[in-house]
Amino acid sequence: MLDIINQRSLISPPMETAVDTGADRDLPATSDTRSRWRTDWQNLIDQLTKWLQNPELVEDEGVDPPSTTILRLAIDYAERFRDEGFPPPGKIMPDPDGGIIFERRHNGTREEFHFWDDGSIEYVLFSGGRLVERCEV
Amino acid sequence: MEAGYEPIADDEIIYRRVPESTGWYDPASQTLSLPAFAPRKDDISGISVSRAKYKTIEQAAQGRPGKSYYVAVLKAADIRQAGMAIEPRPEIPGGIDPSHAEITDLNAANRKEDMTLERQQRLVELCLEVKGPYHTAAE
Repeated sequence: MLDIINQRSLISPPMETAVDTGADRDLPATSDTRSRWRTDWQNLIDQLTKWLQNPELVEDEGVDPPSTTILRLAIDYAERFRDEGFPPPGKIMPDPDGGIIFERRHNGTREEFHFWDDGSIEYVLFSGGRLVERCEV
Repeated sequence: MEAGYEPIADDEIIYRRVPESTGWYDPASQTLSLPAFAPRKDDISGISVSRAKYKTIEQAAQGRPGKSYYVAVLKAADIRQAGMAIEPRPEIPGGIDPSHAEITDLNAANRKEDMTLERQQRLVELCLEVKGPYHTAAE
């Protein structure tokens, strides 16, 4: 799966690969960025964990709460993305039918990892308001 | 013709309720996310919207007691020009609501299609403004 995901801009390689030398990997700025990403991922994982403990936080009129299975799946992926050092999404939100979406906006693009209620996972990329990529993960 | 059954005029203002709890609207960046217009499994004939000619924005925002809701504001003509049909649907479970209408091209049957995602994106772009949040009083 990571081979596929590595091609996606949502989880584009960490910033240090722009200067692809081993020495640069330890630059303080890079370290700070990776540390911040890790913290952001952890905050999102904590949010998902809260939903797991209290589904009423997500349930609303016209919104079914995600099942335990879907929440655990999303947490599992979030932990893997965190540990791989990928940039975090700007937000995590439910879909109306018990799914979960990781959304990241960047330079006029909108990327989503959509964990559908049936357990399928999709990557979606909009650029300039147009759907330019969609695939099952 | 009975109220609520007449065709929706192009210049009518349309409301779409957005639960605050979902994060589908971010007031800081003033951005809507696609799920705000996503059809549910039970949206057999289309996603629900309200006609401003029959409801105030505060009334359109009413939902589950104790919860709060934003309201996305759109214009019927913009929805149609984007290739989507919007139809009056005053008959709802439990009675008649003259304000109730549906964007019929977003429905349960096509909820996972590319075209549906693109239409959701288009509605996000067409949104004139988002108002709220409005709180629904606890019972």
